[in-house]
Amino acid sequence: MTRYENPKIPEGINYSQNSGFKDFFGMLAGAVLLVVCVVLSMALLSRYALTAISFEQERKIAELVDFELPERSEGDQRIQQYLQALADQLLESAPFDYPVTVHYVPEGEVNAYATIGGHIIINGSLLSRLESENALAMLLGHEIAHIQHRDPIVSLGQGVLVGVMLSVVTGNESGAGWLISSFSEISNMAFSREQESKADDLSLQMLRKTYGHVNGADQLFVALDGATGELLKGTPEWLSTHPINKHRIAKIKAFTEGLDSSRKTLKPLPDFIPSVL
Amino acid sequence: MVNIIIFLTLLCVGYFVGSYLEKKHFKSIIAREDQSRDILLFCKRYPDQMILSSDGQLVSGNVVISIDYFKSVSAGLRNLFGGRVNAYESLLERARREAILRMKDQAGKMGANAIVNVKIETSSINKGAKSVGSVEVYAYGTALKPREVS
Repeated sequence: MTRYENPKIPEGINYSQNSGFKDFFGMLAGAVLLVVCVVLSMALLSRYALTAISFEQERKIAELVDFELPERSEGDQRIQQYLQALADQLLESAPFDYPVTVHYVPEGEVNAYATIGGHIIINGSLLSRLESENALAMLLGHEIAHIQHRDPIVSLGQGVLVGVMLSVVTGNESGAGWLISSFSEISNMAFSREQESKADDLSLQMLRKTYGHVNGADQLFVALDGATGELLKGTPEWLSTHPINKHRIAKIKAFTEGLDSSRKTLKPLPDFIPSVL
Repeated sequence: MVNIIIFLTLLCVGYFVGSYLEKKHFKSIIAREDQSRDILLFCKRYPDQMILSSDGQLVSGNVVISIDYFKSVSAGLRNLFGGRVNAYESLLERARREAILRMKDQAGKMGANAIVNVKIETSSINKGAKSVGSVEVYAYGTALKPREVS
C-alpha cells in the first residue's frame, strides 16, 4: 500500500519574500519618467499645433463660450473703460499686437486672469488692493503678455491632451491613479511657472517703455502676498502654478538695478476708482 | 500639499503595519501547518482503500483578507508595467494556506485523519469602481474519519 505524508514545502515559491519596497521605488521611478514624457510631449505638441491656429481663429472659438458677466453699474463701466484704455496704451509697447478685451468684475476673489480670445478679467477685490497705476499696469501687462505668448490656448490644449492621455493610462480612482495624476499636475506646474515668469518679464519691459521705469510694479506682488491665506503661504514653489511672490519681487528689484529710477514718481490711480470700489 | 502628506502617511502606515501583520501571519501559518501535518490532504476523490474504511463528512475553511494601502498602490503601478504582482501573490498565498488550515482544524476536531477531494475557490470582494480591496478564499473537501472497529 502506498504511504502518504504531508511534507514541509519550502517557502517563497508561490510568493516573493522581499518587502516590495525596492520593487515599489523602481515602478515609481518608471511612472515619474512616463508622466514627465507624456506631459513634455503633449506640451510641445500643443505649443506647436495650437499656436498654428491664428489669433482670429482663437477669437472665434472664444466667441462660442458665453461670458456671462453681470449687469454693470455706471461706475463699473467707467472702471472698465479706464482699464481698457490702460491696456491699449501698454499694448503699444508689446512685441505682437494681438488685441485684448478687458472685463471688470466687481466681485470675486483676489484674482485676475487672461483667457482664450484675448479676454482679460480683472476682479474688483484685486483692484482695490493696488495703490498705484504702475502696480495695475504691471498686472495688466502680465495678462497682456500671456495673450501675446498665446499661453491661454496652449495651456488649455495641454490640459485636455494630458488629461485624456492619463485617463487612458490610469483609468481608475485608486491610489496609483491619484499618484500618476499628481505627478502630471506637478510637471504641469513647472510649465505654468515658466509661462508666468516669462509674462512677468514681458510686462516689466512694457512698463519700462510706457512709464520709463518699473517702480511700483512690486506692489502688485506685495498685494497678492497679503491676500494669500496663511495655509497656502507655506506651499513650496514646486507645488505652485505661479512662482512665489518673494521671488517675483526679487526679480523686479534685479530688473530695477540697472535703471536710474530713484527719482521717478508713481502715477496714482484715477480719483473715481476708490469711490466705486 | 495636504494631500501629499495624507498620501505619504497612508502609504507608510500601509507598508509598516501591513508588512508587520503579514510576517506575523506567515509565522503563525507555518507553526500551525507543522501542528496539523498528520491530517493528509488529497485532490483525488478516492485515494486507495482508505475511503472504504472511513466515514466522510464535508469540511470547509473560509478566509477574507484585505489588502493594505501600500500593496494597492504598488499593484496599481504594476498595472502600468506588467509583470509579477508580488503584492497580490503573498496576499493570496496567505489566504489559501489559512483557508486550508481552518478546514484542517474542522477536520481535526471531528477526529478525521485525511481530507480528500480538496477544492479551493477564490473570489474578490468589492469589485466595483475602485480596485480590488480584499479576497475571499474558500477551501472545502471530504474529511475521512476512520471507522471504529467493533
